Amino acid sequence: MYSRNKNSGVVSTMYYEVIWVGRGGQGAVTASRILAKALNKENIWAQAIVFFGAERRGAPVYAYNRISDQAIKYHHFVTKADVIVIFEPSLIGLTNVLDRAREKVTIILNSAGKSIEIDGKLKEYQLAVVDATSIALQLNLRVAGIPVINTAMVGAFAKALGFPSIKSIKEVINEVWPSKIGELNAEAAEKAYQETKIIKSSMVRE
Amino acid sequence: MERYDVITGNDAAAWGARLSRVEVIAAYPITPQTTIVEKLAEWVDKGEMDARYIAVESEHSAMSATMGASAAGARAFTATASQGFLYMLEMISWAAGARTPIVMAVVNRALGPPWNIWSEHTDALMARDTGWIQFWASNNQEALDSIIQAYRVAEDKRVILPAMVMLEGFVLSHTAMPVKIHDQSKVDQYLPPYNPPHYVLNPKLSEPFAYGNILFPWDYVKVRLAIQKAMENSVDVIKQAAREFQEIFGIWHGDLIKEAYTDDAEVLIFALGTVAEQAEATAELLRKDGYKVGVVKVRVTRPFPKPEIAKLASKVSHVIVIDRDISFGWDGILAGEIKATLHDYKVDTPVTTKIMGIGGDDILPEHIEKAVKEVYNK
Repeated sequence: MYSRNKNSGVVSTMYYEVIWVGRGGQGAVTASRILAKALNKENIWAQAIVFFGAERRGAPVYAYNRISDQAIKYHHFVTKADVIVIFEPSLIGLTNVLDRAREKVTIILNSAGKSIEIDGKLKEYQLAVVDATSIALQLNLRVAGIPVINTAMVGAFAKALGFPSIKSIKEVINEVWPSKIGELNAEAAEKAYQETKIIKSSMVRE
Repeated sequence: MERYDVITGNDAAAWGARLSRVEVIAAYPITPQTTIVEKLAEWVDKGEMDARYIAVESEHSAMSATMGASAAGARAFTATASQGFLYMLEMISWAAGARTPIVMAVVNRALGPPWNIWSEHTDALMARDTGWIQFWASNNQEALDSIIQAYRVAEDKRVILPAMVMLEGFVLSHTAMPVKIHDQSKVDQYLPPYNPPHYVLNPKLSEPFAYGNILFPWDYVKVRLAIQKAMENSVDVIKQAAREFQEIFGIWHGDLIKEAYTDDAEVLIFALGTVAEQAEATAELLRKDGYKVGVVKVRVTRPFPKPEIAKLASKVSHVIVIDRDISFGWDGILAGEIKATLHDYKVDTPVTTKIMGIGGDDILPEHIEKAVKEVYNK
C-alpha cells in the first residue's frame, strides 16, 4: 500500500516502536497521531494505534506508534518499545510500562523535578526530560482545567530522537487546529523542543 | 488532488464513499463505526459532498432508507457494526433480494453479551447467506479502495447486488496510517455514475410497477436462482475490477484472494482482514528460521473463491485457518468454508483451525508462530 518507500524484499533499516502513556484528558492519543502525520510529511511510514476502553479523566491511557521506512503489516499493540513517552512521573509506578522497554530504550518524561528516579531494572537508556506542564500553563493550554501537554511532548520527541523536524510537527499542528489554538500548540511544541534536556543513563545513576 | 495523509480506517472508509460520489447516505451511529457517518455528515453539511444525509432512528431504518434510495436510482451508502448489524439483518437480506446495489461499510465488532466494543468477524459473517458480496479490508488503504471497487462490482449489469466492505473495529477503524487519497478525476474514470437497469422513479417507464410483491413458489425459485447466477457472474467482475483498479491507481490488494510467499510454501495460512496481514508479517519472520509458510488473504467471502483456494491448498502439506470468529458447535466459520471447498475439489490436505482474537483479544506474532510450529512438529 505504501509505495513511496517500499523496498520490497529488503529488510527495513529503520524501525521504532513507541508507547505513549498519559492520563485520560492529557491527549496521548492525539500526540501519537500528530507524530505520525509529521513523520508522513518526511516520507516516513508511521501508524498510530490506540486502545479505547471505558476511558475516564485521570485514568492511564495508552497510545502506540510503529515507525519505519517501509509499510508495516503488524496490527497488534506495541509489546516492546524503543521509545516510551511518559506524561507524568507518577505513571511510572502506577503502570508497568517500563517492563515493556527494549534494551536501549529512550524515555521521554514530563517532569518539573530536579532529581529523577528511573527503575533500576533498565540497563541502558537515554532519558529526555521536559517540564511540559509548565509550558502548557504558561500558554494557558488547558481543557476542563487540565493542562494539555501532548503537543509539547511531541516537540520533546523530536528533540530526543532527532526526527521528525520540529518544522513538520508545527505544520501538522497548525493543519489539525487552523486557529489560535493551533498557534499556541505549535508554540508549546517549539518551546518543549528547545527546553528538553537529554540525560545519559550513566548520569541518571549518579 | 492526489495526496497522502495519515488517517484512521473510518476516515478512509468515509473517503471511499466520498470519492465514489455517493448520492444518499442513511445511517445510525454505533461504536466503532460512528466516525464514518460523522465524517460524511460533516462533509455534506459543509457542502463538500453533493449528497443527501438521512438521519434515521435505527439501523433497520438505515438499511430501509438506503434501499429506497437505491431503488429510486441513487448511489446509496451506509455503515454499521455488531448489534446494529444484527438489528439491520432483516433489511440486509431484503436489499439483496431487491437487487439494490448498495455498498455498506461494516466495522467488525464482537457481539454481546458480555458487552464488548472490540474486533471480531462474527457479525458480518452472519450475513454470508443473504446474497451480499463480501469484501474484507486488511489495512486502511484497502478499506478506501475496496469501497470504490465494491460499487464497480455491485452496479455491474451482470451483478446488481449489494456489497459490504469489512474493516475491523479499532484495529483499523481508529488506527491511523498513511493512506493515498486519490484524485477525484481518476476515481471518476474508474467508476462511472450509476446507471440503473431498473428503478422506481424512472420517468421513462410507461407503466408503474410493484416492487417486492409476493411471488408463488414457481416464480420465487426463478428470482432466487437469478441471485445465485449474479453471484457466479460477480467472480469475473471482481477480478476485472481489481485489475483495472491496479492499472489506474497502481495498487493491488488482490482480487478474491491475495497471496504472499505461496510459491514454495509447505504450510499455508488462510485468514481474513488484518489477521491475514499480521500472518504475512509473521511469515516473514518464520521464513528466516526455515519455516516455509505462505499466507492467503481471503479478500472476498461471497462469492467464495473455491477453485483458487483448492488449487493453492492442493500444493501444500498442511493448511492453517485462523478465524477471528466462531460458529458455536461447528468450527471457525472460514475454516468450515475452506474444509467444504477442499472436499468439493477432492483435495485431502489436512486443515487445522485456530480461533484467535475473539472480542478484540490481541493477535500477536507469537500466537501465529506457535500455530505454525505445532504443525511442523506433528
